[in-house]
Amino acid sequence: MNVSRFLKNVILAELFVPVLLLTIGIYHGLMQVIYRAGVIHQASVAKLDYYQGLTLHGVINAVVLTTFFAVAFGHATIAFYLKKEPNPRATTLSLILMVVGTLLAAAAMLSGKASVLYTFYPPLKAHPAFYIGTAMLIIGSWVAYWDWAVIYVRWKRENRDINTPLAVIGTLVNFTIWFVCTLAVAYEVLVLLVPWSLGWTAGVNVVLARTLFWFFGHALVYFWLLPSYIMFYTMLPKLAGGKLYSGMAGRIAFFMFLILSIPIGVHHQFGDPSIGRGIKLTQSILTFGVAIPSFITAFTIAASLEYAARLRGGKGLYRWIWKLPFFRKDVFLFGYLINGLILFIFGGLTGLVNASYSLNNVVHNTSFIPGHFHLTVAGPVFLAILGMSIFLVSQLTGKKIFLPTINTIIPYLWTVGVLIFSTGLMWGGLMGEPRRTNMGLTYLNPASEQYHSYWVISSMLGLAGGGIMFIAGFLYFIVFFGTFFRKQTAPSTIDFPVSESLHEEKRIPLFDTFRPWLLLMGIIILMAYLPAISDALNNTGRKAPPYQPSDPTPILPKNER
Amino acid sequence: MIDKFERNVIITALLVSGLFIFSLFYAMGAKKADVTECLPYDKSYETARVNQIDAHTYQIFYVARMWNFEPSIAYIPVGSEVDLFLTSLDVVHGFNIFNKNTNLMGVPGGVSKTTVKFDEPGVYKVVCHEFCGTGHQNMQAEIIVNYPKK
Amino acid sequence: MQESNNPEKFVPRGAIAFFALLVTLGLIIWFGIYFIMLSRI
Repeated sequence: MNVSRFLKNVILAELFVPVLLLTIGIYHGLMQVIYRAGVIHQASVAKLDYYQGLTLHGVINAVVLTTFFAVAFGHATIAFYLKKEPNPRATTLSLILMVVGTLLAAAAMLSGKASVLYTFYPPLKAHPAFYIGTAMLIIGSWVAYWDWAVIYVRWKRENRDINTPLAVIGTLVNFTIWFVCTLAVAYEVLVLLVPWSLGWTAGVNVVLARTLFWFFGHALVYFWLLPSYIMFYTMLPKLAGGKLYSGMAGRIAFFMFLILSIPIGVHHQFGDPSIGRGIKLTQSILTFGVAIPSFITAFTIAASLEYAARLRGGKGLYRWIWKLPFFRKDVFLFGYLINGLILFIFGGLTGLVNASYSLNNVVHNTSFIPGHFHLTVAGPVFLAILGMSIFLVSQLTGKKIFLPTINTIIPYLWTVGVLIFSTGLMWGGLMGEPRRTNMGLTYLNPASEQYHSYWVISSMLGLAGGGIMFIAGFLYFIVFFGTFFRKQTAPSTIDFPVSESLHEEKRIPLFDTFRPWLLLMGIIILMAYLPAISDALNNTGRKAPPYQPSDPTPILPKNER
Repeated sequence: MIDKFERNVIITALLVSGLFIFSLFYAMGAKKADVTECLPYDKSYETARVNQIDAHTYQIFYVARMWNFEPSIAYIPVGSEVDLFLTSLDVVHGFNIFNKNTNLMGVPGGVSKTTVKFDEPGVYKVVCHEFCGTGHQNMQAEIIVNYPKK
Repeated sequence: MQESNNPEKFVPRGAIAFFALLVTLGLIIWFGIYFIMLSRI
């Protein structure tokens, strides 16, 4: 499909900006495993503090990169499947808000005035520019979503009896989840934190802020994941040379995510005071519900791949696997997506452990948690972003991929790295190793009284895996920027691989409409979250004044200083 | 409407979830494995202290602040059941006892409570596992179980 | 493999085996941590 010069430039900008920042994010990823393994016993390197680096790593990799990518991929998907380009004014506004917001937040973090980590738990206070910048990034992504919703409604009016393409359902479900969940974090940031960080209000209800954050924070992980799911369903079977086993499974999975992604956020707060055990247990059980679409996906994708491999002459119960195109340069996306799925087997299963009520006591805030989420967000999510960003840049600019052989190896190298890294972190976590801690200063410093020899091997595994991940990331930058700055050899286009369905899909109206699902989503969210918010408001005894991370005394309002 | 293998996949996933939920209820009922309890807040929780209720029942009121816990060392006899309370005076802190299922968040304005039984003598290390500022990696405490000697 | 691959008759035996392995692995991981938890009571 031909794309206008305008849309091409927007998508390229939405890929180039976050990937450029990702170089900072990945550098700090490497630095953390070095600090944590006790290779260096320092608070900072090159004037960048450990916790400042951790904030940069989390915000850039998990919020900036993922949001920009979801919007860029959404533009491409909507334009490709509905044959209608987004409104230029809305799209420009969205892009400007996102870029300016990101620059504000990045400036606050790089100047060291926002070392509050990506969860920005009050009463640790960041510079107001950090909060305002993050809010602008989110609001920019809303503008793109509203525009797509208008395009969809118009398209549907003209195509009442045609099944909406699965990729479009996935994109709209994803951004509906995103819009609803970010309302809570926008409220937290704009109403609670910005006035408080400017000294206009004296205190903030910390449990309420945490509850609003996790209303957003767990749905966020599905916002990361659904673009990958769209690729698994609509592209992977075609890349493998076969067909999608069942398109219905994809529709069921997406609508289940829509209703269950948000009302489970309290499973991040099992350790928190003020929130009752009944709500914690309810939301733990709801989390098992949101695992079901992933089980369906695992099976449907495996069946689609098996079908493709058998078409290519694969035999036996499992020997067909070797017929899949693991290292083929023309379908390099296959390598990125299949490695993501392999990591997600472990990521998904360990996620069930984390969300399982009392089991959470074993792992909560230990390094088991980053071990787990590097198997998800640094697995299927990140690999799909890497692969698709190279794919889109190559097609939109009409340039051949730079170092195509290296490009096919990157996802395998990355996967090996993540598996070693996560094994180390999860093992250490089961031995009590804390996350978010500069262990090189104390727990892994033989000169310290707090030296803890049990964590030497686990954190060394983290270092080894992290080093391999860094090398894979570095190679990706070479391929991405190498492709970007090559000479154009073909016209600009978007041409996604499109999987056909194996069985003919009948249109079932319930799975081609949003209204009943949105209603159900609203009801479940209200039932799950009203008691949690009410507990946070009623059981919290006092509000907290702001603190700098470096100072145990609170920042007093200007008139009391 | 849906493929029969996919229907079986959904049924299997539901059965496995049911097994997990049943096991969690079993642990809660028979072994008292539970998450942080919610108590109404009261200013008195901001005073760190150890109370002995009877020979084998203790209460420890922990107060977390940047960057230590009080009491930083608590002595408990072997075989005691201890009610732990935790609050914070400043920012959010974490509280994890090694090799125990005690995993609390210390939040200003809130009280976290759990109950833990110490059957084995030893020095139980406690680390803060939530980022609480530049001194976070120094923040720890100890519970010494073997006191008085038996 | 052209006609024997009639989509209506395709039985994803490999995918069923994979799913069984996936569930088994899930049970092993989950109950592994579950018994760690019980041992720390």
